[in-house]
Amino acid sequence: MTKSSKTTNESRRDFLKITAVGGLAASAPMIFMKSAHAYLNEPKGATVTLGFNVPQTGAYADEGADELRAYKLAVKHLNGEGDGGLLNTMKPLSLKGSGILGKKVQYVTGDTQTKSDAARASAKRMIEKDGAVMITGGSSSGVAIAVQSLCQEAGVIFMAGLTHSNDTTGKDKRKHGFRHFFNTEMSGAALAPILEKEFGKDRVAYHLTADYTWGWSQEGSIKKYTEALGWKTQSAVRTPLGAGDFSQYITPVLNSGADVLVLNHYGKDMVNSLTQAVQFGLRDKQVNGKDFQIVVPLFSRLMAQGAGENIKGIFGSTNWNWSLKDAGSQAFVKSFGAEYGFPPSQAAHTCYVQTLLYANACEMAGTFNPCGVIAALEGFKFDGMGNGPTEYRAEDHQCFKDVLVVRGNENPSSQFDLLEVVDITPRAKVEYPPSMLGGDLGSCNA
Amino acid sequence: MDAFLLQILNGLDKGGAYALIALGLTLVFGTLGVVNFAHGALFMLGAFVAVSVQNLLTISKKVKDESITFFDAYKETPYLEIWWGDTGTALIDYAVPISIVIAIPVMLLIGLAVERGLVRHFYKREHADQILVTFGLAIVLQEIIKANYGANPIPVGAPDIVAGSANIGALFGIEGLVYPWWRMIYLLFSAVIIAGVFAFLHLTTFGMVVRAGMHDRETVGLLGINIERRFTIVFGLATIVIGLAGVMYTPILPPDYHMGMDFLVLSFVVVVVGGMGSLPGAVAAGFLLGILQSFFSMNEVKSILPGIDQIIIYLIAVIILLVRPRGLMGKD
Amino acid sequence: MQTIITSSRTRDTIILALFALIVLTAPLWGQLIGAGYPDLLQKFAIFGLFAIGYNIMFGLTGYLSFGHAAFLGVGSYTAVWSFKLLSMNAIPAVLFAILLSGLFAAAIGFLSLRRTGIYFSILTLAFAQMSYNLAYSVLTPITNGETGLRVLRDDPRVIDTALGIQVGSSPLSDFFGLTLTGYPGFYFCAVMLILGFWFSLKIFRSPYGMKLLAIKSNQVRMEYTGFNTRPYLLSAFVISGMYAGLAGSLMAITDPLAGAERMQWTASGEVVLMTILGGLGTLFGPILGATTIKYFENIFSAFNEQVLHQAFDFLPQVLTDLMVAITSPFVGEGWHLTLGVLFMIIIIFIPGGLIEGIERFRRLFRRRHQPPGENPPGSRSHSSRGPAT
Repeated sequence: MTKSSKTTNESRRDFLKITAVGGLAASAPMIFMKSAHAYLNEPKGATVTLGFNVPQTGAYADEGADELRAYKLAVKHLNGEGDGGLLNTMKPLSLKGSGILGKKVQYVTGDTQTKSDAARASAKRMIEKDGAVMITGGSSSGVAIAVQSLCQEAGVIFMAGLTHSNDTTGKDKRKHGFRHFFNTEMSGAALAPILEKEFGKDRVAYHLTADYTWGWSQEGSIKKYTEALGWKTQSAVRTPLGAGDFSQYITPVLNSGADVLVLNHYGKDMVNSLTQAVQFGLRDKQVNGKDFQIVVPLFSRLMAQGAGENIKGIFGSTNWNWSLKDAGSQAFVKSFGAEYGFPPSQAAHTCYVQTLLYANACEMAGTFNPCGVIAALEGFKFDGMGNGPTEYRAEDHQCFKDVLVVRGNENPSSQFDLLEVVDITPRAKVEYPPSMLGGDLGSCNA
Repeated sequence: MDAFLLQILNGLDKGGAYALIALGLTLVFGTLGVVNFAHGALFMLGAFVAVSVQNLLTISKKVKDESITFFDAYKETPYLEIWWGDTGTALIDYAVPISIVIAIPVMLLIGLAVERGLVRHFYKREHADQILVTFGLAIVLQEIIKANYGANPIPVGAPDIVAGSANIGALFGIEGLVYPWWRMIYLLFSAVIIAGVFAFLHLTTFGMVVRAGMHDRETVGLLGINIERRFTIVFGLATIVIGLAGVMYTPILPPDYHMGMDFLVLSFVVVVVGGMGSLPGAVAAGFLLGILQSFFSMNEVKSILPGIDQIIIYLIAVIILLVRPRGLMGKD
Repeated sequence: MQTIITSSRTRDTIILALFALIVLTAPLWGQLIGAGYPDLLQKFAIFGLFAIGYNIMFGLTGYLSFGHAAFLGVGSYTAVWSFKLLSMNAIPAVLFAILLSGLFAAAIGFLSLRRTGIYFSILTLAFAQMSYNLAYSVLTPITNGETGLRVLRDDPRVIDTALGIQVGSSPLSDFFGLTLTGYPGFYFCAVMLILGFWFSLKIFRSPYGMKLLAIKSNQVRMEYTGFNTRPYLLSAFVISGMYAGLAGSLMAITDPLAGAERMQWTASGEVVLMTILGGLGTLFGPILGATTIKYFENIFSAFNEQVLHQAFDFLPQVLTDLMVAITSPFVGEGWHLTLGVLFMIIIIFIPGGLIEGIERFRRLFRRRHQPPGENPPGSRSHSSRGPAT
């Protein structure tokens, strides 16, 4: 790389080379410009490429691995391989099991590392290098919002993976992004009636909240709905993300006079704070003449494993659980179980369904053009995909469906039987006006 | 008042954990002059010794759950329970204490292997090289664990008898002063280990030679003492200490493959605040940081200084290092 | 004497020209290794710049800073705020980012440089971690926390408004009308990288650079001779902080979003690793290290079984399956493992990093063909490393 004895002559030649090759390089990219296509990454050959962007390293790697399994299964089913999965139960269905619009589906994968920067870099690779027409996946709201706005700018569709913050389809909603997962608002609305039934109207809550946007979103929603019941909120304490040891935040709860602890934590934080709260004897306590209770508003079966025995009897909400008995859920668990030998997680379900929905919308629109796909997805009503009749609301691209209230199973019949579905809150109960969360979808970009 | 007492307990408990985690790091730096970025990974390996022991103890007879047809779900009953009944259950319950006994030889072997195979070739190399190679080692160890145990945390419980909390307030006639048994055991355990390491270094001939080597390696070498071999043993000792810290921490923090990285920065901060290579310094810094962290996380403080608990550790580190050039007890 | 200076100047011109050639042709050679797309090429240039700047501090003075990611973050946030408040033009963003990160570096450097060795490292680490933790939580009004600071359509943008420049629904940065995403964005970064490299070359060759090296080899002796090292150290720290700020602003220019994670200690650690991996204290090493790590992060992580099967398709079925089984733990979700192994192998077998590897290879090659000549510039021997901390 270094030159020790070059003459001036040679350096001049180098310079000429630079100008020549540099000029060539400068002109080369122009070939890749959109002009030849009606929209970005229009599939011209016999295949269409989807981008699966999931966390493969970091705290959510297992969740990401499960998402990826679901995506691979969805691709199989779309291409007419395997048992067809939810293609058998989805209504109305435009898919034929012959790829999408006759093109065989192939995919590229990437690692979000659960970091906005890495997730965007990975999504950009899929768009710029691999020619993906749709990006999907992820396991946090920060990543979902970051990638969603990237897809809006680039002009491809984004089907959000696991993201629970209100902002994804509220303040930060985008025309090109759709979310199948529920949000904190719906968690609050679904949980509150059950909490009232189980714990009564006269309760004092103490919140421990992960100090970032999702945590605040959830704290706000739970406060809003529990206070409407008549509960009081004693304090809401913010804890640093990844604190590890929560003892200094848990001890003040002991003698605060609160009788419910709400843990607005997810993933590792949830596992640690719950384990430690139980260790501090919170669940054996009596306060104000009532049994002390712990609530974990967002539950994930995969993550709950980490807390072991401690989740028994703890209430929370979840997007979907494999134990559901409707035809769609059963069909999905069957395909997934046959393929991998264990049940899918809620993240896997969301990712699988979204891939099918995207493909279905392409068939309906008769094109991969994002504007057409968006039009087909907006206000799309369907059934047979788990969670009952479902709608992708046109105004904010949020999916509306029934929400599950779950409780940690006291007596699990197997290692997968961690959550027991206590109640299925009907869609009507968790609906809210689209203007409530603000934001602006913007317009289609193609 | 009780809130205050509880935070003192929290601080002591955290301090004990920090001191124990930092001890091995400062020992290795003080004697071998090696900046060991794999220290956190060794902590994680210790925790996974406990996970493995628990997995071994709970090898189960699987009875298929016939109600589930789409995949194989099993109701698992550990063989130990089937064979030995309550004795078996008790054995499983004591997975963590058993792991302590097993972790000592396992961590020693790992420590010797790492020192002989890798670290010893880096004694004379620059700190930059040591950082890169030990960081590489940390990643490799981490990924091996991830490949075998997944990325999610794995619960490892303390024995039932000490799983809950003790009403220690009752002893002093104070209401509402409860504290988890296991955290108190951890504090006691770190005190014993720290005292043991000190006694070893100060009361034995071996320790004397090592301390002399810390001071002036070449002169000790010239005296005809094989200091290299002693250094190997010191590295092994440090690995045992950090491994035990990991085993003991599992009931507090369900271990996952990444936990070492999470503690790496913290342990360096503790070691440096204490004074690089100073054992008493590391212990003092551990307790100081633990106690101050607990206090600054109190709601009363946070309402005046929002977000202070996010940065308090680093803020203290900055203040101490600016006031005392070589940390609390470092030598020039 | 005169001839030596002239020839070294010529040599530097050649080095610079060659460097520019390699950088500007990146879209072509990038194709060959599967990296020929704008985002990764931008990352090569941006992190190359970051590492070059870092090398001026760590490589020349031997002071190991563990907090340079904070300056990168400050640069990014400044650039995005410049987009939000002033104009989508990249030039004010770059200038303000360099300025502000320079000031930030001056403040942190002023305090941290009171200490040496690992104490200095931990001070810089502590400052950076404080910045990160605050940016992620209580500073959310300024940083937009976890989601990251973004450019929105209804931001004021006073200069653009005054000039009557309209933006679309998702505003993109521009260079007087040329939108800086995709390849134009890469060329913008590439020009900055070449300028940054040129500046670093100048520093390496200047008496100033020599003094920094002298501090590295023996600071105490220099101080005994009555030489005040502080101004030199502080200026080097500020310069490298400004490089980081520039890199941060380029990240925001090519992708108008600034996230807090880019200030985390792991990000600071990454640039340390890049520099050592490539070759500490060498001219090209840091860039090579940055390119290698970013390549692994983006390309190796994207390999999945489907890709592997295609790659080994030419083999018989059994062998294909075998090769896929052997390689799959090292790619996709295992890309960290490959990186860890790479760190260890390189530092064990070629202590000077990738640059020394290339150098050895070249020497091996040259020994066969011609007698050994003088030591080439940019190699380890040219700027030998003293004790690092």
